[in-house]
Amino acid sequence: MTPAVVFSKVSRSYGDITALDGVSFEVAVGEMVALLGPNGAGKSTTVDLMLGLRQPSAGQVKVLGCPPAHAASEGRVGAMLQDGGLPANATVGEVVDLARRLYPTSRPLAEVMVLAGLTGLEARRVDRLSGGQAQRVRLAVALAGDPKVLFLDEPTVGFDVEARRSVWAAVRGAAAQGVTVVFTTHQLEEVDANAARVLVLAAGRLVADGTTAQIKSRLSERVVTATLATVCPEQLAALPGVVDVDASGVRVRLRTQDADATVSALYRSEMGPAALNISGASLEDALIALTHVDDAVARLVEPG
Amino acid sequence: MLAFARFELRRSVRDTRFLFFLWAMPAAFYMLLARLGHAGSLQGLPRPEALMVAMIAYATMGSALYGIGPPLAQERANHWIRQLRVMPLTGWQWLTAKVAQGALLALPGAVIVAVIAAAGHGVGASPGAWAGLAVLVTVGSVPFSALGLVVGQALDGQASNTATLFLTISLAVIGGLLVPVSLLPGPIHHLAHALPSYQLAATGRAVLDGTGIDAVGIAVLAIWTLAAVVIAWVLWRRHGAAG
Repeated sequence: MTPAVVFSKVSRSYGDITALDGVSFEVAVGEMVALLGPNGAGKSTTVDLMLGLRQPSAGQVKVLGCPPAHAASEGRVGAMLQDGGLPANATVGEVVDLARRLYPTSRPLAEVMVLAGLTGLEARRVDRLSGGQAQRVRLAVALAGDPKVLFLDEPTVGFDVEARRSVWAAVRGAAAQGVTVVFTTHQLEEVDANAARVLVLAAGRLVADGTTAQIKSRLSERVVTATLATVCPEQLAALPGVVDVDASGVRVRLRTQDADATVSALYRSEMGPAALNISGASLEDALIALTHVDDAVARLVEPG
Repeated sequence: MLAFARFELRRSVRDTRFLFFLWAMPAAFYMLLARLGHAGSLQGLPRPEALMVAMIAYATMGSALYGIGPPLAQERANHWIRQLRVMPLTGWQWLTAKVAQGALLALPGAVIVAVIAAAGHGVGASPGAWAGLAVLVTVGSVPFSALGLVVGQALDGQASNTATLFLTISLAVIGGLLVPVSLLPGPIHHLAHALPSYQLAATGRAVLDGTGIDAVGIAVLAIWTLAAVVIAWVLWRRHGAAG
């Protein structure tokens, strides 16, 4: 079966700046994939390339077996752009209906409005919507044409918890019908809850590709949390194995590569630890390690 | 594509304040200019008729340039155009719809001028001549709509507004819509004949008095149309993510 998205050795530079450097991956039809990385890692460029809004400097991008712009012009792609605007002097219903009519196949208008949580707002002018409502209109535009592949660039920015939940319900509903979903987000709980697979970009390279569990387990670090009688950040940082210290209160959080050594040294110190807890790294810890620490990147890039 | 053209037109029709000034301007100019100066002939036509054709040309040009260019610059800035690009709408469909939108925006302004000229200044013409003028406005708006697409893509926000103002005034003045070309200095006089504004009005005068339409005029309009459409198309292709 033709994969939904193929990147083969894709690079993209803007003048002297290399935004993407030899990135390769495939997304199979029906997958739900999160694309993560800090700002400047190359996520926006990756999304633009998948949509055919930019061309790679080297390598090849294919969406459903054809050039991305071609797939988009055939109406097989739906996109919710991070900074996508809406046109002035149009109503919600008109914008969503335009999207329906541009696509060769589409969902019924009423269904789209329910999916995106826009019922009752059909006649509202889009220039008079709140940020969250405008974001829902963009989601509706992405879903209206019943596309085979959905690209969602930070789909829940500006949403409250309730809205976030309903958007993901809509997206999962689409995914359940076989729609391939590729999304970016800074909300890691959304990744844990929705993505079977995670691609991590850092400085233009793909530094990890796997399930969230795999990515977390590839990080050998542990997190030690403890409440201290006296907090001395310098001393904490000097403990054996510690790579990162969060000592913003009396409850400190240490990322360590050797939990045993860290904990025994902590008990021997004068800081008076209590309620100590050792846990595996969270997805966020894994991402920070993956995208910020050069040697950790080198270690995790090894195929495994 | 029809859905998109309808969508665009409905949006521009809803902006009533914008349309009021867009359409009132040539009508106001007409009423002002028709009262100035003496009766008599102008550019081979009775003065009210010659002025009517000039202001119809002005309305056509201004509506298309202003109705298409600055809103496009704004929609590029807020990234609606980026969204449009990832939907199944080809560049040609977009271009055709925008040109149709420009034509439909140009007609009312021209009709208002014609109604004022006919009702208030005794301008008369055969039904055939009126119909001919309507066709001329529709077709003649195309080079200006395409120029609007060029301005709206090449320039951002404020600059697109000023550039549109500059274009409208230059084309109107040098093209002899506000002052007879014969009053302009020699070199500019020659330049006038190469402008679409001048040729649109000249063709309008020929349609109104039934004299033969000048092939040179049609050729000038066609060349402007072709050039503007090609540049607009190239910019659309090139813009990509900058959208």
